Amino acid sequence: MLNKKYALFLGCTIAASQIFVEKALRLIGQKLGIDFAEPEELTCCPEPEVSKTVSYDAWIRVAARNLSLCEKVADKLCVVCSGCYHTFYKANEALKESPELRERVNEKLRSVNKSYNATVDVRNFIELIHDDYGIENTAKDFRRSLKGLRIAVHPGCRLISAESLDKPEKSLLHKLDNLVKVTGASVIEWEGKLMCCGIPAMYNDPEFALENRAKVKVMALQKAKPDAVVVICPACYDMIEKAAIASLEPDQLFPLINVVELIAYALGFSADEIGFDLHRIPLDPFLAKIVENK
Amino acid sequence: MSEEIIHPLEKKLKPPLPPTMAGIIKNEYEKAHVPELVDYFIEERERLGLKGKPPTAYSYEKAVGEFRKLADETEHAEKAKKVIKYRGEPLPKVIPC
Repeated sequence: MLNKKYALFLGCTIAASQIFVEKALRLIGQKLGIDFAEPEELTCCPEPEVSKTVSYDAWIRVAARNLSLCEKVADKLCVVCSGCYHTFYKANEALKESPELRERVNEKLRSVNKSYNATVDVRNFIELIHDDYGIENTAKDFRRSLKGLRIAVHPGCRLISAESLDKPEKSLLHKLDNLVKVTGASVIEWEGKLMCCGIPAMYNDPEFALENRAKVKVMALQKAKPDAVVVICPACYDMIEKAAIASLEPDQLFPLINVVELIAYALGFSADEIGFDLHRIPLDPFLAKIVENK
Repeated sequence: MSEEIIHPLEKKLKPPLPPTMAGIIKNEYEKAHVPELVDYFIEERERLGLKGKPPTAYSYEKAVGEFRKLADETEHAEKAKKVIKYRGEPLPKVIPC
């Protein structure tokens, strides 16, 4: 029997600018009966590319503080953002594996009246739908078929690096593809699918990140001509959107959508309910191709 | 495709701090979040039926204080404080920290 209660960690970017992802997630929760308990006073996860390289101690203390708040409301944590997922998954594993590290971190947490017992199971949204709720169960509630649509999936390097964890159940690449396929859409192969969007390199060499990663990726996508590009990571979304708008003509732009929105739309929620109008690259060409299943 | 291409770098940062990292470190230390939640998105959140401000450090100054307390006496706080000194001025190409 699925325990449908999850602590919810949205992260900075989704709450501050990609609010259509938050809305889609809450709609999915309502429809599937998933109880997203939102602890109060959460902070940045913290951000892994910068914070972790600047100070591991600060990074793991703040991550443990957030995990301790989640531990109070549920035994599982749902994360959408790949950066937040990386931070919580890695920090949690380190804290579970090393009692010495946990005690050292808890010593600091006590100064803010908190402690973390390392009991939380960190789950990616992909795992929640694919494994916990069940991909077939989710599909039973779909009200729209995306049959006939050609989707280019951009998994992002955080999902790719999870492949090296030596834990098959944590292999999220094919699960993300499966979430797209179960909507009826086909997942196309395209050159550069596994290449990083460039965001981690932005902090050291913005020109390299844009010219040698984001723009290369955008050109490969434009060549593949998908009906839409599906991502999970908000940072990848930002990077691909910026590079596409900067380097393509308006009639060459491809719709870009988060898999959370895709699932919410397949479940029958409307474009207005999810907030599709907030996308800088219009989703109209994508929506026009979807056959309504009444 | 080699791992070097597809994996982000995860090495301890050596000084100086790149200006592109400065904003993140400063915002995390000052706000406990990276991006600011601007009025436009507060209004759009309300239009979509979400809380204008999520119940995070965007709403609770106490959470910001706890972030700072945990970061204090680490290089995170040390670097953030040096970046904060440039407030209102353009950042130099190299931040000596």
